[in-house]
Amino acid sequence: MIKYRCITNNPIMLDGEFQNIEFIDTDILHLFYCVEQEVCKGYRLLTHPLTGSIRPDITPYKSVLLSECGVELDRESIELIQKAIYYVYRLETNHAKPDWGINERLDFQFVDRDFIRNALAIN
Amino acid sequence: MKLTLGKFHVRDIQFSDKSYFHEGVLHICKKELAAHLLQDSRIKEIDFDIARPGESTRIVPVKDIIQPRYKVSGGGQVFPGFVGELDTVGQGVTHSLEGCCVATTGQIVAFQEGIIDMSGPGAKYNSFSRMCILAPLITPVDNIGKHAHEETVRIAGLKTAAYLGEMTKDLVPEETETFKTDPISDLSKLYPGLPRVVYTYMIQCQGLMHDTYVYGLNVKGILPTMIEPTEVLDGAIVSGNCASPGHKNTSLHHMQNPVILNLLRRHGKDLCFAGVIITIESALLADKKRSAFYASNLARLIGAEGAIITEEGGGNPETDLMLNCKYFEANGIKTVLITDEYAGRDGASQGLADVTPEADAVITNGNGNEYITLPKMDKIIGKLENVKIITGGNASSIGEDGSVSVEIAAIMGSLCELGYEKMTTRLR
Amino acid sequence: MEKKRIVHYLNQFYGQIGGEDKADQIPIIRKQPVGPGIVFGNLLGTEAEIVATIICGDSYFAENQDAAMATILQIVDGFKPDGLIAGPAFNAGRYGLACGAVGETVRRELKIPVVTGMYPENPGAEMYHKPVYIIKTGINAASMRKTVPIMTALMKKLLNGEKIGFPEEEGYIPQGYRVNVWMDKSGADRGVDMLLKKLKDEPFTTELPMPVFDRVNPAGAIEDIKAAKIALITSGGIVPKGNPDRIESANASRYGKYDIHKIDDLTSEEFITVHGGYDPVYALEDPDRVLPLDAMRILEKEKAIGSLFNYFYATVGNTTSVSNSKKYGEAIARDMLENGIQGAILTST
Repeated sequence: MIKYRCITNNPIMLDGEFQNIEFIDTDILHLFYCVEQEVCKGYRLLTHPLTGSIRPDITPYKSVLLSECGVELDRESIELIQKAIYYVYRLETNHAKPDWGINERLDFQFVDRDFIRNALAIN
Repeated sequence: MKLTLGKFHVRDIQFSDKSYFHEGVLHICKKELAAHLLQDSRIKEIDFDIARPGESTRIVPVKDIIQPRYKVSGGGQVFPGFVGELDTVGQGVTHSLEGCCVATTGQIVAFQEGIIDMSGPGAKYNSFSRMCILAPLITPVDNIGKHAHEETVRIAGLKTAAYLGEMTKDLVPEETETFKTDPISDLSKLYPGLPRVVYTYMIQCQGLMHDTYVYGLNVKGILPTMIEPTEVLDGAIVSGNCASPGHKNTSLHHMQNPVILNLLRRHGKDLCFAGVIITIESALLADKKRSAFYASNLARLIGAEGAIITEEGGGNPETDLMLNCKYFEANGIKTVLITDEYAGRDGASQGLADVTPEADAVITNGNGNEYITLPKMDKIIGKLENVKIITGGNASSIGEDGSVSVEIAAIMGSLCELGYEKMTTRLR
Repeated sequence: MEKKRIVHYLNQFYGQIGGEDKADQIPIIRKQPVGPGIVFGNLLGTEAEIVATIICGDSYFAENQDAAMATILQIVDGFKPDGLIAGPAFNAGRYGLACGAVGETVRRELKIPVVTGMYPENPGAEMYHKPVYIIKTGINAASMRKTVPIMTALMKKLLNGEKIGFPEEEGYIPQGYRVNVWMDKSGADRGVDMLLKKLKDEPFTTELPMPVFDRVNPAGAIEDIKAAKIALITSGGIVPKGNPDRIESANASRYGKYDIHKIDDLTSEEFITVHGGYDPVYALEDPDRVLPLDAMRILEKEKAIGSLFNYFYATVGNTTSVSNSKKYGEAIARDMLENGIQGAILTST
């Protein structure tokens, strides 16, 4: 089982299944800014920030896995998180933020958690 | 491998006391089909409806679309691992109902299903509007988990498609098309001087609503591997992917993979079709890198000079697409990428989540952010309300007059990145 | 049928007032076609005519944009035209910016079609290609003969409300909007065709060009920051009061190098901003806000860095062309290397 940090805005990630969850109650764009800060400190991205194919201007939740230890700035990680930030920013300008009901929110949370479960199950 | 598709052209579907196919009309006995599907105890209720080209009908939400096919010889049966037993497919004769498909609907699994309009401006965004559609409306048992719900609907769709295909079992096809592939070891002898092309087939596998199955196996965590193009035509690859109706590959898209069909038809004429490499789109970055260089090594192993690489979905899969491109080009294999874009409502943004300078030959299947208003349809199969929560829709998508305003990303297959449709974007 | 009315905008040179010496010409009116306007008039034929020409000096426009624009708009409106032609400006930067600004404003306020012409690298093209149709021209007036008919043809189409085709057909610089269209062949078929062309080294056109990559390899990390000599650079337009090098507020044609060896803190008495692209109030109050000299002196005193270079470099980034920016960057880098500088802080706005 790989060691990791998980930065997330998805509340069901706190249910005890995963280690090292850092929950930030914010939107995806700001979550990615936080991830960017950590990448600048040397933590490597383990998952692509834009997991799945549900657009980040549609789903409110994202969880990002980073390496447990950070030493040197990883160029691929910084490029990826910055591209992801730019992508989210661009998509968000197209329409108002969706105001999802509780059922939809739970579904999005569920699917986001599934991405992380599946990513961790591979190794 | 050698596969003959025996084709039957469907011009209408009717409900009837008996299920049979006659002179272009598919007669379906609802009771019999329902009983067949209700063998899965996870289905509480099932009903069926029909949509025909030109009708004022809207189907929403659509989960998967499957082409009815049925193997009459050659070993195995369509959708191996789900309908067919686990055995090699891709040889012999498979009957195919053309101009017809199954579109599963009913209670929405989550939010990634889409719309099909059978007429009006929405109809031009996919080919399904020109097909006769049988829509099973599936209601699962109460309190079914999401994974089980998705699987139930997926399998019901496949079984329905096989059931329809089976109606032609003893009939003589109206038209046939035969596809032949050659062993890799014979290719340089048979086709000297023809450019050797490989098809690199990226498929989704990231979790719930984002899965694909090959011979019944969820492809999460697999290394890139090869598959015969004719196995794909027999339904060896099945979609469990609901992510983004506009650009996910439905099971029908897999079975009618237009890149595979094009390469098969040109094999031995102006190119040599060396094979199909399936590779995954994983959420893990290590996986992405590993899949990309591994796939490029496989391509080099079989002597590919050129590769078509298709994508599924958007966002992180663009990183896979670019990584594949980089590694293939570095291995001396020239690439063409087939994708789509999200260039903003005005089309003024750079539409990909990832880019690389090596990607100098790209086909685009359209800008998914284009916003359109679809007029009210007289008949809704499914539930119109769902438009508000599907990708491309929003809380104010449904007008008081019954019109629907959505991004074209909400329309099934509108941006299919296998290059199934004829839409593209041009720069003004 | 009554001829449609066109107003033509020209700079002092094409308006036959004078050269650079007359670049401060205030807007004036000629009630007839002038210079290239005569050729436009001939080509517009019976459909339209140039009823007036507005001539304005490039420098006057650049340095008094708001006032100049207001005057010009009023003049144009007075003639009640059906369309406006500006330039063509070829690669003349200030002229291109003026044509673009006039075109955009006239289109927005008077809701009439506008056509201009520029060389693609003209900063005016970079800035105004979205709101205004800019016909692609050669680098200078040698391409006037080819350009005028293309500009005229587009203007005629716009006047008649005809559908405007794609850039390849009509000759304008792409405005940057990707629109969905249908082709004869499927994406898959087009893909295989493209691959075969690529394999045979035949020309093909990608449907989705990648963004232009400017890969500059970063220099290695500074080994000992506490011993390093650091310089300050800004594209935010901070210059000594009086702007001794006359750096322009936009489309800068030069950069400056200014002595700060006796200064710990930039003050409004000695330094100003000349950047025309942001509200200058806070920078004028305290220029350190754009060029952080005060902070650098503190770091120097604390020995967090070895020393601050005695000069800072400044230019204005506002619509300055990429090629010029590259030139300034290379020159500044050479100068820094000659002065033993190991790192620099570059501020922009």
